[in-house]
Amino acid sequence: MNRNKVFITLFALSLSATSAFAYDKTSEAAKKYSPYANSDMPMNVYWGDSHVHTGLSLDAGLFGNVLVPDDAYRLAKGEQLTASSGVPIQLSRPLDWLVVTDHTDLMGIATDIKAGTPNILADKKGKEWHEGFKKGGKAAGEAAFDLIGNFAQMTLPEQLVDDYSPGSKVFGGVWKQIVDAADKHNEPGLFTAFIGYEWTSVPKGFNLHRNVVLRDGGDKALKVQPPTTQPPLGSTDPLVLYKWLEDYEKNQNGQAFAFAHNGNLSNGWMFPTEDTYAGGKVNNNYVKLRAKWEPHYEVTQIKGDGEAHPTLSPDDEFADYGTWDIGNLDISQLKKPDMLKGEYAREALKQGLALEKKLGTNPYKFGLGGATDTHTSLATADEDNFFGKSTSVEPNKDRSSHPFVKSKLGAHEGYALLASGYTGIWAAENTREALFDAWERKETYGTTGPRMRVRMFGGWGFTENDLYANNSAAIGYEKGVPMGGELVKAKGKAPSFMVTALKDPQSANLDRVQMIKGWIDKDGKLHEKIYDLAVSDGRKIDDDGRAKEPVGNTVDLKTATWIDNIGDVQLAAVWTDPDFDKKESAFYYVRVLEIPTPTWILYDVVKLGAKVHKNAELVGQERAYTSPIWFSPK
Amino acid sequence: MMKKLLSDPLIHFLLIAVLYFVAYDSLNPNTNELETIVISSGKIEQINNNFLTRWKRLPNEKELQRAIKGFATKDAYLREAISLGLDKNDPVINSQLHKKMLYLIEDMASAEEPSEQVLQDYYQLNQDKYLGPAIYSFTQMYISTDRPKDELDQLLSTQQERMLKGLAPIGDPSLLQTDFTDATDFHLTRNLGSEFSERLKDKPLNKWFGPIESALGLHYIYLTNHIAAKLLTLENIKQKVLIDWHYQNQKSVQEKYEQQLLEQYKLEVQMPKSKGMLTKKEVKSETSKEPAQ
Repeated sequence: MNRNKVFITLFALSLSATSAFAYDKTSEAAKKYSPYANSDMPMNVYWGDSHVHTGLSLDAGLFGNVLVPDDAYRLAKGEQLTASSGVPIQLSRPLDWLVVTDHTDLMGIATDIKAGTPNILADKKGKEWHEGFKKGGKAAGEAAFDLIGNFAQMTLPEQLVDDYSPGSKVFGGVWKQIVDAADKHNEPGLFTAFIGYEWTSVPKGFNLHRNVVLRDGGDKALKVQPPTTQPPLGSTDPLVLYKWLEDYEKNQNGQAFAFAHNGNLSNGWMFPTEDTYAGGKVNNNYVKLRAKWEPHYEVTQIKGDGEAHPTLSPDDEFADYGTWDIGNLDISQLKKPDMLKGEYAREALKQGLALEKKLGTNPYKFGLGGATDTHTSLATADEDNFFGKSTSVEPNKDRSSHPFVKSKLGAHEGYALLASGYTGIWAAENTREALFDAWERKETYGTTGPRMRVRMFGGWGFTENDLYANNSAAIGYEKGVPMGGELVKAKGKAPSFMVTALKDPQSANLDRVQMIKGWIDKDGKLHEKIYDLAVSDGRKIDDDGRAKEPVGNTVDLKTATWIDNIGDVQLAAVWTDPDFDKKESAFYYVRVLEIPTPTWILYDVVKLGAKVHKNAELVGQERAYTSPIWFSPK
Repeated sequence: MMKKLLSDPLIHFLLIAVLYFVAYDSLNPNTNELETIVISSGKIEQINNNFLTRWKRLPNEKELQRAIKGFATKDAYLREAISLGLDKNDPVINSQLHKKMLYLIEDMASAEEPSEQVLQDYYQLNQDKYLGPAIYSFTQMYISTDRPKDELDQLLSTQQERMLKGLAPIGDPSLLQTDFTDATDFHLTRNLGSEFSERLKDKPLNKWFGPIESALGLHYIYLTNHIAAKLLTLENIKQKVLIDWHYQNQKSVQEKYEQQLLEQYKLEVQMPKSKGMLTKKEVKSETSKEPAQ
């Protein structure tokens, strides 16, 4: 883009040198005449799930998931499939992109037999099979059965077994399968299939998982192996993952980043401020590396919502949404209140300001997104079309009443699963490059499933007229920065924000749009405050910035339906921070709430005749969280 | 006493047994032959590579010996476990073996390439999947329906009058874009709901009409271009059709294989006698657990 601009400027200069004066006069204005030429303005929001496991992941396979990445992409692209539990499934509408994040282990021998790689041909049996495959027809069938027989009996030639075990030169069958499937389904302009994997660090049951997304294609991805977390080769320390990313970028000349999820199951270790679980310190090195390699956070997913916690944010009546409060991932240790500080995104954004003051870098300056983390290969986040966390909890009437994880200490209950979420990415086009770059500049937002269209710009002079202007977004970029951006130098006045939210045409009306501000005062104390920017149905916003009156509830518990006669189709506001202090670092992010709608549990009751636990939520307010805009006084 | 003992049939039996064992032993000398654990050169290479990944150098002699011993110990354990039958009925192992079979079938199926004719037939049969997008260009004026009915009716009739006079209708302020240029039906569904593009079909070009309904409210439309969805030619989307064919082929190869597989066995189902068929209620769904990773 920049290169194009430079080129065009050079071209224009060379023209002006040789052409008539009349052209010179108009060239500057004319060059800017077409608003679409050279525009890389992100005008579209592209929806996807950044966290899907298929049957290739050992754990998912154990739960009976027989669907592979190919199936995951096909569902995401809108095709109808049969789920592993035998039920037909289709998404309400296609997604624009997907990251399959399987874990990898051995395999890949059959592919090489077909191809006749040197190590296969060096083996007598291998050569036989290869020739059989080459002949095709009956001979291929016989070769295949012979191979399968040897495989099942574990009587493959020793050399070949060695060759296809982790660590050997030709290992990588599953990784190759993942990469190949992504390359096959990546259709620039139509659908983006990212290459990625999950790094499953979970020391002592404390969830420290990270997903990794590559900007690149198979040519680079196949030159590396994803790192493992199992000793002796692997490590559960994120610093080791950062090293992998560093090496990848340096050696392959590629680009990649990592993002974490489920701080709520880390028992305080996701966002450390003093010590890390691996035994390190939150020091200069840690904050720099974390800020560099983790520009994003998966704030909402099936295993609970991680935006805010009612104990940390007692003044936020919407904070208790999808709260998982029992313990760590395997419930080997129960949750204590003092752990929450290291678990939730809003608190981490605040702690990041304090760490920035202390160490000079904010390690928790991340954008926000949502994903499912499903182990079914099926990226479902809609309440009325929810295929659960694993094949064992695909639609069946008992899934909400059975514990999902159980230990001697407690249980993550089946009804606690949240049909959530997706990520919207603002970009100019649907390609790996454009989406990845938007992700890195944090122009993303997460939702708990609905695809509402949310924009936020922060700057120094937005007016009400800008909101409904037909080039509103262009004004946003011209006068300010989009979500994920940074404002500096206050010039004595308070920043203003232009925020717009349009409902998902296939979901419910909107209740309200809120600004959530966090800041650090001159004594180093951290604060947060919520402002309602726009509320539906003409309700009043009080002087303290809040609309106290709830939007109401139209959900019919007998039929699992709602009526859009409350809430609004669109909500928009220009808002200037009334409590701004130009010496205080701050962040601002938008939360959009839908009117109450049925949860998947209520749909299970109505559609499957499920019985429900008394603590289960039958009605909820789905929501969107934008990446913040940060203000920095320096 | 001795005589009595010597005539006891039990003693005879024991003596014969002892003689038999002595004879067997001398005829079959204990060779003490051991089973072999082979550490192949491939395995050594693998150990070296593992070491290299972790420590960025090759192991020295002592380290290599330690790794070899470690591998041998593991292998001996494995053999012992298998001889004790510990691999039987292990859900982790069973699931892995099942998965390996599925990989092999998939790989086998992918070896087959369709002829031109087969691909052509598949394309013909699945034409609905190979439609290009319908394309629309139009200007829209949005009318919010979030107002009292009388007021809405009044507003709509005012707009009708404007259109009759050849004037453009005036819409409410909207976050929706006003001009849609070469928008696909996919794009319209995304922004205006699933039925909107359907409602634009067969509408006149270059004049205002409406209102037509979307998921967001009502819209007056000035349509300037409409291109119906067209079947894409096989030449243009051959790669996609080929990928789809492989996907379907793999499914059917798997089905055929499973059928053949079951034909190799006699199925014997032992229903519980007292109850006959289990009812749905009695089949308790398995307690689900969080996947380990």
